[in-house]
Amino acid sequence: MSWESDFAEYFSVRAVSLRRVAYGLSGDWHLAEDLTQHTFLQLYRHWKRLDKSTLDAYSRKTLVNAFLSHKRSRKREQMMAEVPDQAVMAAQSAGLELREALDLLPPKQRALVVLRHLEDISVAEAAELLGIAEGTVKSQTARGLDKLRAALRTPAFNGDQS
Amino acid sequence: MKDDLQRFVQDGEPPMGLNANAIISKGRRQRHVRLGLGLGTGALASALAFSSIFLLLPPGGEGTPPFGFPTPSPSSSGAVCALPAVISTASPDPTISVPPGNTADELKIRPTYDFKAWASGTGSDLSCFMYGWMKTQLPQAAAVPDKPWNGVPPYGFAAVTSDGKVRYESETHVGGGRLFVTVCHESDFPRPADVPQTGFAHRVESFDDGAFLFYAWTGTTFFQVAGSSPVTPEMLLGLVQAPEMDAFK
Repeated sequence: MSWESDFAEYFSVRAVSLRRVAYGLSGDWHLAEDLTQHTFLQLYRHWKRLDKSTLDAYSRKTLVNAFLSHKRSRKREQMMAEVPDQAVMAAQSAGLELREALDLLPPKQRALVVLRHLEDISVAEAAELLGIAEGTVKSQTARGLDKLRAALRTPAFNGDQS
Repeated sequence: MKDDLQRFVQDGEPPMGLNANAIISKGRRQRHVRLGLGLGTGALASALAFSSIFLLLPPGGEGTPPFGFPTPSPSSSGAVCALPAVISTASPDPTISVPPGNTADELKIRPTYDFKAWASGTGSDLSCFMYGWMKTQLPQAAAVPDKPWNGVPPYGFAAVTSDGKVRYESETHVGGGRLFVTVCHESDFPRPADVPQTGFAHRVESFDDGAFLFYAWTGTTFFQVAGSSPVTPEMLLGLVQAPEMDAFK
């Protein structure tokens, strides 16, 4: 089996879940697909040199870095005020509410919440991935969850800080 | 929280627009772009900054770009070819988008140099010889510009001066294949431990899609060639061992 076959097999196993993580990070399916494509292109580029036991960690890190890089490049654009569309706001679903609540989080905090609760990665893995201390992971994740609760004003997120 | 997030990312999830084959194809194309950048984007950027690109164009046919350069005189003996006229200065192409997440403007660097002649000398001799060699090896093949770089003539040679070092770069697209040659002094690209340390040595790195990287050391001159069918590494052995190509002897 060639290495490209191995790559294709890995793609078939991980592409959907990585795109979901990307959507959790970005809240935009088009951007999620772009981020996922970027991640797999980086995997393809470095495949021969990658330790296959760390592929998941590498792909998560590439995805998160691409997301953070995208947010940095869009920062100036996002700081410009936009007139909210009240008609859409009034009709928003629970999913839209969560997306907008997630949008309130700073990018790294959002990444921590998504990775810890969607990908189930450990505090240590999250610290390694984002290059921060484990204590920072815990505190930032807790703050992120607090902000989500406040934004949603719902008891659905009761004390889940694991 | 986990359940809410799971619902959030799964409700209304659109069909996956990506597939492995498309990623692999795109990965191959990007690799070819990177290989085409020779020994580094810095060197190429230097080349563009100096705007010192010398071009030789094959006569007539589909691949003739609309620059009106004089037709060169193909030669296998290093004869002086006609020099192109001054066109304009180098600039990146703003019309080609770079995929999100890419920081290097690899795709923007190459396409629309505006070309400018540089003095005759080693670069033009190498260009003449390579042109003759291509015609000898692949007489039926047509040289055509590669997409998306439609503005790039099919045959070019650049003299790159960076930190006092000189490199020559040539790019040719032939019959669907691609050949990108970088020539520099061997001291700029020392031999790795697994090739003979004296005399002529070469190594080939092949890829699944038929593309290859060919490296050769003559004792004074180093060659890096990124190629693909119909050019083969075996054909290149003749090219890089020709005395005319030993630019730093």
